[in-house]
Amino acid sequence: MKPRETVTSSQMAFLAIAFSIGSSIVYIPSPLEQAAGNAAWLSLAASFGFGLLVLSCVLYLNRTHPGQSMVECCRSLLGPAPAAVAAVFLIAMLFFALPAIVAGIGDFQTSIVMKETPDYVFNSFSFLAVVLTVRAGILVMARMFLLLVVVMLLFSFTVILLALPLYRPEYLLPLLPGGMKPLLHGTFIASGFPFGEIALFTMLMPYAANSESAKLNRRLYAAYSATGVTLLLSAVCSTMTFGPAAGEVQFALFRISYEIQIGELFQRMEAIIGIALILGSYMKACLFLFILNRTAVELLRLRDDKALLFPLSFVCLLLSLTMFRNPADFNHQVYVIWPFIVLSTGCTLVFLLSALAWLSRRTRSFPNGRSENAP
Amino acid sequence: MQENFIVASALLVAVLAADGRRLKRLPRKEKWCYAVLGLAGLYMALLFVSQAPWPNLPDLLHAVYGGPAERLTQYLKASG
Repeated sequence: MKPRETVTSSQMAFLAIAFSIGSSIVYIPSPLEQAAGNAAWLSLAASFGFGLLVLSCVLYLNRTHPGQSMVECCRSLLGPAPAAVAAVFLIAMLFFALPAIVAGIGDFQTSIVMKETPDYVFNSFSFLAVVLTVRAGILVMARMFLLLVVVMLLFSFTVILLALPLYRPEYLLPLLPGGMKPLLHGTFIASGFPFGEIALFTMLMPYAANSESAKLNRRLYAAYSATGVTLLLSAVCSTMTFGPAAGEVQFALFRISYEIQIGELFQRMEAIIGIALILGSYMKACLFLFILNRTAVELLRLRDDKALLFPLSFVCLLLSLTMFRNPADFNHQVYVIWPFIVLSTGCTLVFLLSALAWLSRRTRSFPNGRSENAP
Repeated sequence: MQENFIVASALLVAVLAADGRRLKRLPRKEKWCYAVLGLAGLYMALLFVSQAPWPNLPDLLHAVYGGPAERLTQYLKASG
């Protein structure tokens, strides 16, 4: 069997940033501001905390089952039949998420940049780039995404900094005008999209180099924290710029860049942030297709791990063109159904596997049920 | 409909052209999986071309997750 490619802990950290920020930097402030109002940034902070818990479980599983993906962990902890059921649910999740990401790219392009061009043009070219990238392998993706993540973050922070004259901190108050429920609603949305999605990162952990396991945990926590800070800043800046109207503004960072006017030199910055937003979605789509392919290969125990890439992409492309009837349907599925799917399937599975792994280690440590100090 | 038919056909031809040589060398299990995905792709292509309101993946996910997700969202949206 061909040796599996491995990536360094730094490369895994950048993959984690691409995975977590991904398409969420395009969308995230707006639905949270609709749900939680001025408390959107608080919802993000709370859901980031939840995401850290999920990441801890992912890293714990990697420690107790080194080199094993989620499907392999399910097989060893739950048995082959429950593992197959879990893998089917994961595949269904990914068959929803991947087309949604690419549909988002198409939606962004057709609503902002090229309004007369049909969706299938953008979706087809996006999937072509994604499938060719995934075919090149995880190592090529890791090396490439390192640079793309830097570009994405640099452009995003540049826009956030240049928009300083637009910010009105008074728009952050009042903090909880509707009480706790809007905050919880925003937390629910953000816990599913994007923070809870880190549960799927267990499928990429087998590619982390064993020699760097000591640094891996630290670097992944740092990467995830960078994601949290970036999205938090994005939410705060969006609220400070648009105030009560923040929830009605689609693609908040893009709209902020549109408003930047510093002398005659810094204006019409939206092209720069547009690049950053598409890069994030592209990287996340690549990682999701890789995970989808990996899950299918492990479920079906295939020998050729690239055989299904093109048909999977074909199905996902057509899903992206048929899944969402209109923008309201997109919003309903992405901000109501998808967070629930992530929490009830992805995160619950990771928590369950972590609990079983912990119990199994405890049972191995004390096989006769006696305590350590018993005579 | 015509436009969608041309697009779907072009995509299908592109996938088969890209994987044509590889398909002949695939082991049997991979061929079967490829065929199943191909059937799913053909169904999706039919949906795309005809724009018919036939069952799709979101309907399946809605059947499983929709009820609890919407109830939870309604509860969180209710003013309190």
